[in-house]
Amino acid sequence: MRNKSNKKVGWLCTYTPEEIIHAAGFTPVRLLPGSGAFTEGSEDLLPPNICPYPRRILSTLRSGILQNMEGVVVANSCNAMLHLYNVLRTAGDFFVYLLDVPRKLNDQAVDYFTGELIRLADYLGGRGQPVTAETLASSLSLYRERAKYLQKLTDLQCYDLLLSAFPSGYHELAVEASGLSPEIFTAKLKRLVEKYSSGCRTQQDNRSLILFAGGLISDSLSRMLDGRRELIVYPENCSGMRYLLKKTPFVNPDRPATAGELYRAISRACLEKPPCPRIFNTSTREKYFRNLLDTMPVKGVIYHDLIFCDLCHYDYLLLQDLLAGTGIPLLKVKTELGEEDSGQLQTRVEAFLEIVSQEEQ
Amino acid sequence: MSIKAQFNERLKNELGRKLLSSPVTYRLAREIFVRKGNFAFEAKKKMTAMALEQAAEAYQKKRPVAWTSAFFPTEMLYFFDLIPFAPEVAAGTSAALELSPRLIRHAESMGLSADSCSFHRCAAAGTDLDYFPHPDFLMASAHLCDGAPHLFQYMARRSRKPLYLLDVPAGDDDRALHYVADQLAEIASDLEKKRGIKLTDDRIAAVFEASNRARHFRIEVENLRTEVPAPLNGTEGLAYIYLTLLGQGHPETAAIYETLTGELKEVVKKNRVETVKMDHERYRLIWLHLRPYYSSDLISYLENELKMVIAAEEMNLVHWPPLDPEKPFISLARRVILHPGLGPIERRLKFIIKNYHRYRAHGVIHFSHWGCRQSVGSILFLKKELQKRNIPFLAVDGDCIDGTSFPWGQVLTRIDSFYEIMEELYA
Ligand code: SF4
Ligand code: SF4
Repeated sequence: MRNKSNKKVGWLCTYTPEEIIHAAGFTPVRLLPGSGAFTEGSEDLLPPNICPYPRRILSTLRSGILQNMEGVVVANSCNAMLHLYNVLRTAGDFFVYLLDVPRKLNDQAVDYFTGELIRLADYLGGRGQPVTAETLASSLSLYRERAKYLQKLTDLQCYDLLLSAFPSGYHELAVEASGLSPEIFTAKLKRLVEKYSSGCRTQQDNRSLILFAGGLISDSLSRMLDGRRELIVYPENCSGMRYLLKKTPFVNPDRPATAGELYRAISRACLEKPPCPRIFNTSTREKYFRNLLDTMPVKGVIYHDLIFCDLCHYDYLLLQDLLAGTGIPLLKVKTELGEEDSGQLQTRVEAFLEIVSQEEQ
Repeated sequence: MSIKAQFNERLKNELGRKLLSSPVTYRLAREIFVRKGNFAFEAKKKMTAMALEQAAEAYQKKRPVAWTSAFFPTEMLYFFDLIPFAPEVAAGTSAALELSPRLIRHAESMGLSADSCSFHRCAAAGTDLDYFPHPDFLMASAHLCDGAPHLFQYMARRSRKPLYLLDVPAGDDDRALHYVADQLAEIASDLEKKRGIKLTDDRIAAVFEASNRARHFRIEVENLRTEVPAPLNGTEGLAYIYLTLLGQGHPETAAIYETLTGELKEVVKKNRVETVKMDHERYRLIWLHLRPYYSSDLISYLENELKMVIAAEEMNLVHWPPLDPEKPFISLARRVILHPGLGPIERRLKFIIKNYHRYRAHGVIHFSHWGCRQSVGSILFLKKELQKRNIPFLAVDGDCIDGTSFPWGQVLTRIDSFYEIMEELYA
């Protein structure tokens, strides 16, 4: 099935299943903070001591910048998102749906989330096209195809190939992937990978890697690390790898699955994606970080402790503990997702990279 | 120097940590403050004694200690003879004892963002500095805020003790109910093994009986507090939050509320026969969220100077049906998911409006604790919705623990303007 609709449905949190939005006949588009000092128009709805991500999205939606937005699916991923849901309903002429996302990863959580996904599909189906086992399977196949190419491009050995098309690296790849219809984006990736498959190294890439961890980042923060081909910048955040490495369930064409089976598979895949700091199981995020540190040539870590994100604030303590005694330098940066402090920040980031490169010599 | 001031002074030096971690201190404090202190109500005296005894028991480690976050159903602890200790409550106490500035500074040196809730910053620092009785278990709920469960993950890493996390969804339907109930059942089954205690029907019945009896008297207290003039003001009422956080399922909680019921009945009776009874009550308020725990004139200025009396506090109100010992986990899960602060804001709004009318209030004040996303995130929405219904609303920006960052002068001006609005509306 090809989704020709240009009716868009916005989403924010990477625990949101794009496949279901797509199967209901909409183009899922992630609402990201972008850049610029744009929180105007949100002051009367959200107070300034709430995470800037929802505040920025609220301004953007309210100002009508995003055209053809039929609605927004807000995942209940944190307090800030719930508050966004509360006020977004009063902010424009589009529907707003609250998707409850568990914080645990066990079978009960998968069950609970499966029920939530069925409710979401019913709701969206009523506004777009009914979601059936067939439409869902076909959307899943499309996303699986996209995941196949994303996997190729997220292989560290293909970093140069990635940069040839996405100069800002993984961040740019994730922004584009989440903003375009899977049909268009997969076609672009396919052309790139097939044409330049020789752009990948056959041997281990021994460039240093900077792990960019923590809260999602703005385009301007990402740009600070642009153009450094001597480094691999690995944004583990949700505007980077935690989105790009999300799995899509496999649909066996020889044995058509029931809708119930598909919802359950999507539920599991969403909850088992690379974990965000909101996840509850103490060891999940710890194991994930350990794995990144053990399997990649991490030479330095920059942690984005996004202002007013409690989840980041505690996640930072975890990473700090894990890095203690490893000799890997750690830099904490705090932003409001805008251009505000970019001058000073740039200086700190450069000084840090300097230290990293000196330690290597 | 008063005894309290001398006591506080002692705690600030290096001896402070040792003093705080000694059960003797709490028994001594009980002697000094409870026996000799002036309490307007016997119930409050009993509650203070209970709190000091619980702290002493925790430090003495008479039985295993469980650290809990706000709103985790404490019946689960009493089922297994665990002594509760709430680091968030300890943070409040640290502010009252003037220890919080030191803890806040320490939290910053640990790398914890100054943007996070100061209750949690103090609790994290208290853990790091070994101020608290060592836990055997940790239990945290995602009831209201994002911070608490993650703070508890940090504490569990430090103490290397088992952590039970309760994931609370935003919904309040049957699926949400069972999701929470299943988690509670799982926690109980693990505690049975670890404590070697079988959770028998008798145990459940005893704890639920205490919990339901407390609920019964709490509702009596609520009904008495709807009387005009208010028989219990906010200065007193706000203290009882301790019982919501640590006392549910403890027999003494029921006894305290029973005592309070009797005392308030007397006050109401006396108020009815007095002639000039409105002297101390010009306007009645509903109080949202908590209060400053350091020494502050905020509440006394409202109640004693302006005669704007807090008739009820959001955090003290009963929102759940009686617990059913036949269905222990479903019952507790129901209380969890019915919390008015959970899920879409309409639930909290409805709860506020209902109680505004029930208590014949004239206005609503929200104490906006800086680091609390959960409560602060909705104030602009609440303000609009309450104003639509002609309900005067004031959000007082402040911090429950850190008194340094919020100038009293500004708060005063805002309160005075709010008072003027009330005068225009009602005088
Ligand atoms: S950055 Fe943190 S607070 Fe902000 S929306 Fe994401 S999880 Fe929530
Ligand atoms: S004040 Fe708010 S953020 Fe702090 S513990 Fe309470 S609910 Fe959580």
